Amino acid sequence: MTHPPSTDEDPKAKELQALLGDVAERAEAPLRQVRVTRDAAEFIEHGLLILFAVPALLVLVAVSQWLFGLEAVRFSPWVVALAAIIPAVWYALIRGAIIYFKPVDRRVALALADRQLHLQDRLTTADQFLGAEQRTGFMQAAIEDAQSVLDQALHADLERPETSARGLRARGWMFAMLAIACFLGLVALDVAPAAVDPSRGVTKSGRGAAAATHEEHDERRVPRDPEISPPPQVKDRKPGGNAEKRDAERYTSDRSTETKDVKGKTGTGQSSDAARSTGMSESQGVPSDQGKVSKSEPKKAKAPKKKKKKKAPKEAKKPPKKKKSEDASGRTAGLGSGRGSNRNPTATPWSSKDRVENVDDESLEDEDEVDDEDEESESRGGMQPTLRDRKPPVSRDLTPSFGNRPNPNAKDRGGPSASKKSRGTASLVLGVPIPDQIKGQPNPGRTKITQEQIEPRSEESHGINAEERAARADAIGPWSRMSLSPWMRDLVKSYFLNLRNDKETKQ
Amino acid sequence: MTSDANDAREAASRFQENYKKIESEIGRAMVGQRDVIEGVLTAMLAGGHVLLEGVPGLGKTMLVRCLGESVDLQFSRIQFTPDMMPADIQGTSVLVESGGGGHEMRFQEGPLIANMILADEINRATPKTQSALLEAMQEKQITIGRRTIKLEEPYCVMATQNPVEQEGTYPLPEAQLDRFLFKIVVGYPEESEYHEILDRTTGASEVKLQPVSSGPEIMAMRETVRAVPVPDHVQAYAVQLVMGTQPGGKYSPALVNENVLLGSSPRGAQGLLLAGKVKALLGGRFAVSTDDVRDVALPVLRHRVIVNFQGQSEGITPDDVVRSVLGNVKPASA
Repeated sequence: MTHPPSTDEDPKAKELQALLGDVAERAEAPLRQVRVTRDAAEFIEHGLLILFAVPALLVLVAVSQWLFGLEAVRFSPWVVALAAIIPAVWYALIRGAIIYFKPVDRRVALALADRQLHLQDRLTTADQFLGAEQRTGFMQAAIEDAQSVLDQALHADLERPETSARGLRARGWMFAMLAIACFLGLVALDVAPAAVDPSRGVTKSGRGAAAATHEEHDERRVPRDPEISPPPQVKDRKPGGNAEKRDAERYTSDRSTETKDVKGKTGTGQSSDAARSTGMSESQGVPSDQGKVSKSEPKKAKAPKKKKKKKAPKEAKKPPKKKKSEDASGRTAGLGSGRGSNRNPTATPWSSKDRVENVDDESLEDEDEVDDEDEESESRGGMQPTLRDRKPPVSRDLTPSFGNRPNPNAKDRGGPSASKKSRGTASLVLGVPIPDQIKGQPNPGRTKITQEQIEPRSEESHGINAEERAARADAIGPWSRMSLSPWMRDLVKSYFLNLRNDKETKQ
Repeated sequence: MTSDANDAREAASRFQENYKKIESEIGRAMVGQRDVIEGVLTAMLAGGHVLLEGVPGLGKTMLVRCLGESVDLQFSRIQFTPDMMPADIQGTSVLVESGGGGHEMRFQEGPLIANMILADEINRATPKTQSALLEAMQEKQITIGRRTIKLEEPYCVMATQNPVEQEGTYPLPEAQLDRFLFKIVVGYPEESEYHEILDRTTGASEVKLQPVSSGPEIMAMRETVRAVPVPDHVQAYAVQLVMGTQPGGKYSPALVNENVLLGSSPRGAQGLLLAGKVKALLGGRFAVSTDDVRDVALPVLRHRVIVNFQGQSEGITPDDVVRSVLGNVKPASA
């Protein structure tokens, strides 16, 4: 109850105020129930959050154990359920009790009585006016007016006002579902621990877990990959002993067969000794998974492969390189050979034009590019910018001549001329091969031929004779028009149909 | 019982008595429309002005004329037209012949200088002429040139407007609308009332109303109204209702936030309490209750709420807005 308004010296007023207090007390109980009903959803939602928090915390613990390979601490599902439910129920009860026993405002309680008894705020107004310092005639009349209905208010049964309890929000339902899911997850973890352990083991070894766990893990791995696994270590043998030597020999022989297999698989030409040494180093290193063939070996096999690839093609590609340079210089000097004319698709029949490809050019250019880059990089001790001055200057001679030499393809009156220059207007003509020179790159790029490789075909058309035709039955085709509403479309349709009917009847 | 309380009871009973007399006298000529009559009388006794809205033929003008005849007050009727000028209603100086053959300027009072003004079809006048009413309605005085004329109390403007035939009319500006205490929508009579209307208006006899009250009595009734106290919770409720009509306010429902351009001003809260006091006295009580405020909320607030474009496009009326606020804002006990 809040503090009642101050009373004056009038005993009647005091008596009236006490009676109003009685009415307010009678109205308190239904109001408390209303408050609890109204706020129930809120504290149930909070209780569900607590219900969700406990299993979620335990799931978090289990996940962190799984991730970090810690020893799992298991809880009974019943313990978990109790640990979640007890605080949630406790919280809900405490909140409900706090809300229920929270003091009710006296004027609110009197207003409830006013409303239920249809007193039109007489009690509330009188209670306020009783506390006023100066009362006007109308105030006094209002107080006396309330006295006449006070007896009715004191003996009436006040009902609980209708209150629509707010339902649980999506948040509350989500907490409930999550709590159930977490609880079921914990139960599943507890019931089937074996289903979880293998994956846990792999993760543990990968993260460098304890030695005991590694041993356990390696034991499990033996049947899967027996060839690569290191020899079993005997704890009681002495260093340099016979048994150790025997084991070492046996292991070495095992490893040699293994490396041979690997060599055959990879085909990199790696010597068996090198491979064996690699294998030995692996076996003598950290005994966990360094001897695995999973990821580390392909990496090691890749490195020499790359090296070899670098060296071997260099020797094999020396002649093409030279040839290329000759070709380039010959072309620039206007000394094109007959090959240039063969590459000109305009001089070939249409059927063969589709197959015009500069395979040799492309392959040579591509390889040259790679080779040149590597060579330059190596000779200069790293990647260097390509410089123009390392190439011969481009000839500015535009005449299709052969210098002082006669045209080797010339017949009678000149014969076929040399290959066209790939600049100027010739490049605009279809079918002229245009070597693509990329600025800043030492070698010409791919040769492009700007020609559509489509063979012309003759078309057959059927003539249509002129004759009298009937009216068109169907639509002409799609028309761009605004979409009409159905009633408007029907209206327009009926209008034009009527129009046509009228014309037909007139005719 | 104290003497003060007895005086209050007597004043309240006189109030009710006078009210009944006027109401029954108007009822002699008017058939039905009890709510409209009560609204008009409430506004007049609360010291406010009334805007009556309804289609032609519902007796708006007749009601005001009947009220003017029932109360012994100076009654004036102005038919607003588009070519009317402020001087036509306020008055102007005219040149008249004086004794001795001379001429002099004499002030000719306009129809606005009276106790009860019927501003018929007020929305047909131009805003310039409508604005001439502002000072009279709020300040109860008229200023013409350098002359200020105090209007005699009780002063009450009762305007009518037609919701249809809006072509060629000038909707009342917000400043003008805010000065009306009530906007009463006059509806069609009921079936039983039609017969009585036809009997009274198509026969040979004509009802002649007699004045049953006077200006001083009306003023005394207004004083009684002003004396009615307002409890705190009722005042808080009135304030919350007015704030509920303002978009973005603390008590505004979603309908108001989305569809209202302008809410009620504090004049709305004044109107709620003044009209609530009249309702309390008519209900035989000595203080205003939240029910009284609820009862008068619609005629007090409907013309103070301006619906925005979105609301208009969705067909939301100011009445919908006020009902929504009434549903959203609950008294302390609810």
